[in-house]
Amino acid sequence: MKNVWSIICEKSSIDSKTNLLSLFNCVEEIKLEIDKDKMPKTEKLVIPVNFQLISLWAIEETEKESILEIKVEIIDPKGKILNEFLNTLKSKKGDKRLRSITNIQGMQITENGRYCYRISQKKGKQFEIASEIYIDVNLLYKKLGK
Amino acid sequence: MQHHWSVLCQSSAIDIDSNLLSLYDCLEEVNVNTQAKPGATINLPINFEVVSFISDNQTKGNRKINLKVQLFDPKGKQINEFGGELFFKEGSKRLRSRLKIQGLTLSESGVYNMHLNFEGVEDVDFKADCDLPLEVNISYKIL
Repeated sequence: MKNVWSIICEKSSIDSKTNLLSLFNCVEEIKLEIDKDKMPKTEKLVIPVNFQLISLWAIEETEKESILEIKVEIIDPKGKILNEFLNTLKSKKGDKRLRSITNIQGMQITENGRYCYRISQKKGKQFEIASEIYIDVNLLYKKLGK
Repeated sequence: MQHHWSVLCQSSAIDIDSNLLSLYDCLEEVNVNTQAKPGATINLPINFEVVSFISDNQTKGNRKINLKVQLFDPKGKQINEFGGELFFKEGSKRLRSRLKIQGLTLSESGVYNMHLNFEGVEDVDFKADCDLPLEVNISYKIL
């Protein structure tokens, strides 16, 4: 299978009559003001945001059922992998395309900068990068009063 | 500079308050019912957009990119070409391009391919390619 595109958005909708997919509020950047006094003392901070990671895959071999194993890695600006998860998708015989929708709850951050969501697909025994999506995180530390 | 994604959709909108982009009705398949003779060219009055997202690591200067979109039929023959110039403004490290296309010329059923080619102009060292497949099913109505 070939990755046509992958996008991170806040929510999506599939029209019941036309089966057309719409992506609402594609996420490219997060700006956040944080109260310096209330900052947790841990290395990682979790932003309470809900995303959907949506991919469209083109199926090359349509004569048979196929299985797509994908791995999503969340990488911080220094290149450290913060989290990863695996997903398996199945396509039926005759299917020419496959949509994958993954709900992501919360985003772990360590510092300001560009975070990468790396989507890899299993080819043989190894995972190969299929797509990379970036989110720029700008944290503004402020003293927001008592 | 990096090309992140390109999507074929019927329309898109950027929210005036949040500046967030939404893509409506992403096109993957088009079903056409026509009275034309099999093999005849069909001009489908459909409006769609090719929306792309590109980012840069630096923000200096105005950076120009040429976008060439070629539409190929299922046999690989080029049937149309569109294009435009994209600009990264000074201070900006992300670019969204929304290319509006009116009408689609079809000749047969099959998977049409929209090939996108991005190329930096002058000092901009950037090249990226992307393919967007569009499945077309034509049914011929016999009167």
